Amino acid sequence: MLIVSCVLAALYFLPGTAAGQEEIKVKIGSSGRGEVRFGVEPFVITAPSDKIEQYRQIAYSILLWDLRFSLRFDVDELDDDLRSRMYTDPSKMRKERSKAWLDKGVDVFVRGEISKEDLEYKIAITLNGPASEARILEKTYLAKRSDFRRVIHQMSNDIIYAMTGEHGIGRTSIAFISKRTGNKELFLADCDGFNEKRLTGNRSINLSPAWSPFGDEIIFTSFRDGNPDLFIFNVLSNSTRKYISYPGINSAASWSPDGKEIALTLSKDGNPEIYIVEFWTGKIRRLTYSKGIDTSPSWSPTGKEITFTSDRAGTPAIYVMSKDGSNVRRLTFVGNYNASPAWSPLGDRIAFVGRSVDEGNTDLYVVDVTSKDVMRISAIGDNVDPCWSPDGYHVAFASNRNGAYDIYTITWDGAKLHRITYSGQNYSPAWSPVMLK
Amino acid sequence: MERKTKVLIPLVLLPFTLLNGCATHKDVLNLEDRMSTSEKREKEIQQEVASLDSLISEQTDLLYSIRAELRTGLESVTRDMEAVGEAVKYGERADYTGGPLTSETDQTIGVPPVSVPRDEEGTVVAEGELTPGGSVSQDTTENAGAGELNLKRAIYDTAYLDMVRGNYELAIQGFEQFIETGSQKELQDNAQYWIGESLYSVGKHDEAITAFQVVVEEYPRGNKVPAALFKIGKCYYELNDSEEASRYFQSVVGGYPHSEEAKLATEYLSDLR
Repeated sequence: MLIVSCVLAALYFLPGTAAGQEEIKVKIGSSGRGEVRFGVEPFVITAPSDKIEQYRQIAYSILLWDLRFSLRFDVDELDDDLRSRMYTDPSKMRKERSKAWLDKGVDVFVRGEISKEDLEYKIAITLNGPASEARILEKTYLAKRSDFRRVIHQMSNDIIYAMTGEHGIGRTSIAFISKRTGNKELFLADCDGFNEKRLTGNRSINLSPAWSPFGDEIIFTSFRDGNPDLFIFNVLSNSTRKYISYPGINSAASWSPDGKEIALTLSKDGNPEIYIVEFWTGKIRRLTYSKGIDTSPSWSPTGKEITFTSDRAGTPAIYVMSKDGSNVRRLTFVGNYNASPAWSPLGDRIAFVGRSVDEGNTDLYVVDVTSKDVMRISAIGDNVDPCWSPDGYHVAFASNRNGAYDIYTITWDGAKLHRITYSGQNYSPAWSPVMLK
Repeated sequence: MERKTKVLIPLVLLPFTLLNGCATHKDVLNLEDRMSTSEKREKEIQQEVASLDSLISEQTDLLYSIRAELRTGLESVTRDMEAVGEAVKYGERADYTGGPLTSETDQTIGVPPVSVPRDEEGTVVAEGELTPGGSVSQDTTENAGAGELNLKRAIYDTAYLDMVRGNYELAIQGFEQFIETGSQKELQDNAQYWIGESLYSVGKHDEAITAFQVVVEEYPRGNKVPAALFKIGKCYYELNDSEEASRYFQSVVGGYPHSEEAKLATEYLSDLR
């Protein structure tokens, strides 16, 4: 069971934070619900203006979603009656709301005010402990319409950081492949599924995106020039360049955690094997020499080991090796097909795709790297292409459980599912790192 | 005469010019029509070419998949046959095909069954209803001996997790503690090897050499020997001692020619020449 404990003491301050913080322990429950009860109030509109109600609703829904998705909190809302009455005379309702939180037994609640100033929305929030009304966090945000969602996600991240000392993933993105244009192109969406946009338009087949650890580039395979070559898309400049083009297959690239190396699959020397290339010099070294197919490398969080798929023993299974190719050992023996490993950023688990002999479906599994215990975390349809969120609490994957393939996320224990895409045959999700700026 | 000729020539040419001018205008119109049709046709051809490109790319993708599957299938059959031969030779079950027992799982708690999430009555639980503890844990028999064994195994597992997470000093302490317990002989060489890897990871190559040498000298029949020798070679490589590095890489190639490390060592030997 994954447990995260963080004790906030008077030692912790954020800019704008008032004095008198409370000590609060935050744990992750294995069912996906945290043990801290967290209340969220809709923001009070301090000055009515055009569309401000709409943006208040957007902010409320983003905050609720981000805090629940973080798995750190048991998120609660005010009762419908109290919520509707606070819209008419919020200042009178303040004490009543605080009492309601006390009665509900929440440990912390967030409240705020929203107004429009010129072309920007101003949101001022406070994070409070109901027992003493002591303020844990106090901060003001300014957001233009065009980046409103991004600012509210940042707000959620600030709240999560104030409570846990860890970075939230509200502002992360998921790159994926979609066939909605008729060709398999590279797309990008916020991690909640909003703001989808197409990154490539080469009308070819594009596959297997992977993020740089700095969040500025995405490496992917493309048949743009006729051969499966590796290209790099720069998110900042929206430009694409060819990176590696050996004869045969150039695919399944995975960036090392320090960004200095890329593990990848090449077939230039015969059958697909795993190589490491130094990113800036292009110096390449071969890691595997088996007669079978070795592919799908994924780095450990320290960058010292690599997990990969190999059929050297007859059927595809998950293996682990040192990053220099030595000390290869087999990790899984589930059914007759284990592939697409993804090492959790927390280091303790590897997600992979497995197919049991009797059932035939492909499902997601998670193997504990120490005990080798295996847990299945999906049970409907075919489920492929797992990748971890940067906090290690969610797995994004592609599934045809509702007909066509779409991108979903599921918690590390398979407890909670969220759908990201809704149209167009979507595959190969790749979760961006946390962007701190 | 000359004057008359000069006047007559343009008069004679004029009708021809007029007649040819009418004919040229009609031809121009025809030509424009033809050009317009050609342009349209060119666009259509370009679109067809683009579609064909896309189709060819898809077919290529499919061919790669089929080739990979065929190769997998063929080698699966080959290895099945080898596994049957191995099973007959060693009297083992042939459930898991080929390959040496390099997995720590094989050496310790055995292969865990796949856990399909079920409720208390044994009914398969749908997603969203999974409760904690859906995994299958290692064997936990109730006698005190097994409990102590699990505790010692937990020391090893904790140390391993520390190493995976980059807490190398803690990992080294944990592995040393595990080795002192003297239990689970099959993991002792692993623990010693991981001490070497942890030291290597923090750049303490001299100490790593010593740790790996313990693996080679005290566990000569263990499965970590080729990797340990290779790593000693790498330590000397990092320390720019080409002579010692070559010696150890050569020992891997000569002593364990069929190991993964032998092929890697060969590459490093090429670098050093």
